[in-house]
Amino acid sequence: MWIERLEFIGFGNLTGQRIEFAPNKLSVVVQPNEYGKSTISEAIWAILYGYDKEDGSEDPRVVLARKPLSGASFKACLDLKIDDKNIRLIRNFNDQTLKVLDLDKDPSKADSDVTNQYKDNGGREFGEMFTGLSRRLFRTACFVRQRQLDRSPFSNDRALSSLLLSIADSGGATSNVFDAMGVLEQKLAKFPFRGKEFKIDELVTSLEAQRHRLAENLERIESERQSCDRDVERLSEVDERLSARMRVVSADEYFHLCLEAADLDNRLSKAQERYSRVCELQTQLADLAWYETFPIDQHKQIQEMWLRRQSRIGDIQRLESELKEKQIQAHIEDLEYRERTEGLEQFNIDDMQMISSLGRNLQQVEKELDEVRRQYAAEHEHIRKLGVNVDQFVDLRKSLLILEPRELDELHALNTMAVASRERTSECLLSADKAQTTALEIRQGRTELYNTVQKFFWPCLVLACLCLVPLMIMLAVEHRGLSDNVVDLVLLVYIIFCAGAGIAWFMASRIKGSYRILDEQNATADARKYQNMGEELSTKLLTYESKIEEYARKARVSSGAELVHNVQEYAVYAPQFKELDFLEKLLNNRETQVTKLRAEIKPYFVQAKRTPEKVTGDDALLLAEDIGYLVDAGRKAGIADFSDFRISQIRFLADEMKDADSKIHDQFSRMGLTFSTLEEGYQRFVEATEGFRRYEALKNELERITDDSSMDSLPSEMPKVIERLEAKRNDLYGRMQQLIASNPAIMQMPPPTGESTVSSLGKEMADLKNTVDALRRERDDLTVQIRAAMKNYQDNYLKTMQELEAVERDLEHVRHTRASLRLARDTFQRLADENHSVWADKLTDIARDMLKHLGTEYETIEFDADMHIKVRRKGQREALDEWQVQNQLSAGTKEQLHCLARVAVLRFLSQGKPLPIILDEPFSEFDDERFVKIMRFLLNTICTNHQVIIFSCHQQRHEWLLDQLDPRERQSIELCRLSALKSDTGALTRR
Amino acid sequence: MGAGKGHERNTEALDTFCRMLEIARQRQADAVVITGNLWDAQSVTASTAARLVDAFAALEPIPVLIVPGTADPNNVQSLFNPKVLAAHAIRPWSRNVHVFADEQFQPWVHANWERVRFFGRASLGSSSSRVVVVPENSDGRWMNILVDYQAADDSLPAELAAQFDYCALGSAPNYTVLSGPDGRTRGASAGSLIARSIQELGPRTAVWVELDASEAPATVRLERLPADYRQVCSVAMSVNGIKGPAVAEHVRKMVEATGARPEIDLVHIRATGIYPAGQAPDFGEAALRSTYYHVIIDNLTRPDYYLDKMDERTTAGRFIKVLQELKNTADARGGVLSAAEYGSALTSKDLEDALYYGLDALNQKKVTVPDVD
Repeated sequence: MWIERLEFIGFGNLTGQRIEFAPNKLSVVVQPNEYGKSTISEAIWAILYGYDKEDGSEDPRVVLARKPLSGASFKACLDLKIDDKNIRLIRNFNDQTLKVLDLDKDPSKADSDVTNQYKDNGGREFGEMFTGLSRRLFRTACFVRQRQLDRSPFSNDRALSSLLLSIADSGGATSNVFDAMGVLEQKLAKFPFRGKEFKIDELVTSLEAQRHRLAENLERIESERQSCDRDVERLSEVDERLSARMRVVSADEYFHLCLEAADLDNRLSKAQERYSRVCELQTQLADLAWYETFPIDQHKQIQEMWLRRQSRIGDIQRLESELKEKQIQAHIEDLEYRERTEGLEQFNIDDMQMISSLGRNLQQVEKELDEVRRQYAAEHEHIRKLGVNVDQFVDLRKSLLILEPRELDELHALNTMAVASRERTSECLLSADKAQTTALEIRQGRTELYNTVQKFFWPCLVLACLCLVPLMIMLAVEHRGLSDNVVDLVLLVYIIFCAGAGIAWFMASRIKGSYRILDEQNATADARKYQNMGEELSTKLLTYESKIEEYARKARVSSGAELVHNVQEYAVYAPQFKELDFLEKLLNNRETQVTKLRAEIKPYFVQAKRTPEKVTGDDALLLAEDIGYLVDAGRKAGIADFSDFRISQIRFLADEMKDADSKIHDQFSRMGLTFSTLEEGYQRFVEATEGFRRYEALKNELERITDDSSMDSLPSEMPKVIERLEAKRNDLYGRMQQLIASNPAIMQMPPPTGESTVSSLGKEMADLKNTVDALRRERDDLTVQIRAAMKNYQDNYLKTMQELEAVERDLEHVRHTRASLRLARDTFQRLADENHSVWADKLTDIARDMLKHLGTEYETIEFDADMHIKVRRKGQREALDEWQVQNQLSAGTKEQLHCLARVAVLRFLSQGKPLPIILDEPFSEFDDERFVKIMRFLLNTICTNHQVIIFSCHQQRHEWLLDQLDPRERQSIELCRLSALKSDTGALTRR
Repeated sequence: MGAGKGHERNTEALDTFCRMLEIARQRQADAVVITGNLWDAQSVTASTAARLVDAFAALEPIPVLIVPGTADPNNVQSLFNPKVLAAHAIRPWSRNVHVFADEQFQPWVHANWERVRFFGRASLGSSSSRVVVVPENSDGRWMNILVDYQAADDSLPAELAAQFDYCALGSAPNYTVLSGPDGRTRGASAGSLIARSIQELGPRTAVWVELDASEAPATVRLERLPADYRQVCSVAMSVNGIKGPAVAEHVRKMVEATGARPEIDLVHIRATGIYPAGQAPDFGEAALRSTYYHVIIDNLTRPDYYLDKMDERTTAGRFIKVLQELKNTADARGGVLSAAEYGSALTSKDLEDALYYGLDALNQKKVTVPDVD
């Protein structure tokens, strides 16, 4: 890379100026102060890289400082030669754009602008693509600022090694990797955490301890929770056991109470029953006190007398009943006789027999009629099941039944002949049409052939005539001058045409005469014959159809065709209808007979003034029976004798009863009974007897109850006893209700097994209650434990969990941060070791190479891995370390060493793309001899590979230098200066 | 969120839930369905359970159907267990509360609507796959409603869901409607009633469902009832190209644009991008915290060290390359790189942090590590 030219449209205090640097020469800009040397130096990297915020130049003041005061456009150009390519960079600092031109191409053509070739640069800056260095590295490596060589390198606060390290590590930043590692170590040692600083390892240990403690707490809480879960399960188990025990206890107690209650109920019931009975007996005895004096000894006698009387009364009633029954029977028979014989007085025994005979006949015929009807219905159903719609054929059968079988046969024959005639007629007419068509075709064929032959005849005839004329002429002139062939040819043509005309005439006459005339005549005759046959057949067909129409009218059908259709349709089902037709005829016959018999019987009924709606055989037989009843007059009998005998018996018995009533009446009166009739008296007697006996029974029962020794109390004490038992019973039932309410299933539970007694039950219950109490205590303890554990869990779990999560989060954060810090530190360490070694080796090699050409007093310059420099003078075995360099060597020597080191760095970074080195006021501390040597080193060694630009204000020294150099060396130095641009647009012009 | 606000939010959650129950009572709902995760079994307190028991009892006779979910499984120590309730001296669940107890779907027939069946199941703590069996309904006399703590997924495709008149589902963080193959609404997940995380953005609602079974299939009408009055508002922003105080202003405007209500809503900010080295952005966090109920800032921004412009011959350039390669390797291995010498595996973030810590140390001569507060 070679900087050839700089143009300043407007940059700092340089406006409309340019400066050029000759190729392969050391460029020296020796000008006084304020010339713009530093501005020119800055313009080089500013054009290459532009102002960028990385440099801190986003501060408007930095940019403003370089903005031309003249008001010219803030713009500058840089011409470069890179790998034999001439490139122009035009940077406009106002809009921060860069234009790249290929100077080897015609600037008037668009392809000279190659900016786009450098746009797709993978994120790299333009300058980096030209120099191969980042902005920072370029500025650090290629630019040596004023007094940088003599002041900085070996001062205490900024050793050369530190400078080299900063270049090697960060491309020239103010710090190096070792500084960075120190910062990282510092952060690891003073890690901020909750407002304080800790050693990060100690912090991690502390957090881990906290986490461990919290995890243990959480585990303990979880464990308690698990224990609590077990307690809950245990509580469930205890509850179930308790419930089961409670159920057993309740069941036992319930059963015990049931037994007690049953016993108590029994006792109470007995007491109540006894007391109630005593009260009842006493009341009843009081009510029956009248019967105490009843003469029970007369009871038997009076009872016998009364039974005898009742027997007489029974006899009398029976006799009177029989008498009355006979009288009623006679009356009924009389009424019936009158009713049945009403209107039958004029009939005699013969009439009765006639009616009876007709009735039986009618009865028989009616039975037959019913049977035929049943058979008809069955047949009807049978046909229907065969799939014949009988209803559909009702009308059809009726109409066909009108016709005789003979007529039906004739109709069938007529229809067959009509069909045949119709078919033959069609055939004849068709044949006639066909024959006529054939005749017509033959006629047309002849006409067409004739016309064709005619068309051929006339042209042949005309042509023959036309040939005849020249032929005649030739023959006339004896074909002079003409060859015989021509004459022969004309003659031959004439003959051909004559022959053609002759043939055509012959054929036309044949066609007109006899050609196919016979065929035409035959066809015409056939047509006529078939026509006549068709007409004859049509006449016959009309005859047949008229006869069929006659039958249709007879069968009450609208047309002959319909009749034929009906017959054909019926013919399909005729076999099925044959039996039905027979039954229908039989049915009609029986109905006729019934009608006839009814007509014969009906006059008898009219005569007997009986007019049934429909006379039946049964009616007739009934009429005959009534007439017979009338005729049987001898059965009339009287009952007078029977009645008289019965009346006398009744009177005798009535007398006997009168005596007995008198005796009974006396007895009842003596007993003190009050009565109006004897029956009432007897009723009183019976009541008094029963009352006496009831009184006696009650009295005996009361005495028995009073004397009962099993009772522990007297009847007078019983109300109090009952009251006491009832109170006890209520207590028992109340307790039982409580037990049922607490456990409804208790009522369905089986009673305790074994021989349960009240005492044994009591013991079992006591044991059970002890168990239940123990279970209750355990349950209460568990409940308390669970509640406490749950409360502890709820109070502490979430809190501990949140604390643990926070500690884990913190620990995670600290651990990861520590890992990141350590990783950064370790990576720096590792890469620094590797990179510094590489840099040290390379720089040592480059320095060794340069020293060969420099001819200084130093034989070697070595760099170690920490970029410390070691210098060995020629002839000395021991090398000087950096401290010795710092403290033992002169400032000029140190500046020279620095220069060498910087050039070595530059060479290392160049890597085949030699970079320029721009020195701003260098070697100010050199003495003249060293100055000449370093300049010769630059001329002879550095300038062979690198462009060197020196800015200096020491004009006399450089003039002296030129005097010291030999002519070849002098020619290698070019003194450069600014010159005016040719025009304002000079930046866009070519050199 | 600190303990104070956490407690406050828990109280708000309970109040909100009870308010929803009160609305159900006022509207005379036919049933209240809770599709899982009524509480967190790890942290629920007895007082919360007691209040829920009372709240459900106050709904009587409206049935309350509870499907225990993965967060509140129906196991031995669950507060759904009456014995545990008794151990806490809490009265048992009222008669109108039905807690599905079986791991497989079981039917429950509505007491008043005898043709309405609910099919629900319970999480017992261990994971179990959902097996939905279409109930027999050849005569079409039943209205079948599926109730589950799980959200709609492959185990409940739209065709299967369409076999039910309605599917009340859980697990989904946000309100989700389940449609059948014909596009008709077949179910819904109400989402969380309470705004708890950035996955639960926007309004929180319960779902009021009206089923019209006059025609088959039943017509579903959904109405969202506002629940939690707070919302989570999330903002994702980049600081690229924004400098200085403009960052805080930009953040403030973006938060306002989400509709976040001062003193009410919870705000989450995720900041990304790069900023000039040494000029860490100020998001105006203090002002945001004083304005909104709760503010969380995920600061994922990085300083701009022109990583791609660093010369690889320098140690810094190699440092960048090495760590970026490590990070790429970690990314390729799922974001983790084993590194025993650092105590644990290094994540991609660790590697990126290491890169920036190193560059901070090299360029800024200081390393800023976020303090834990």
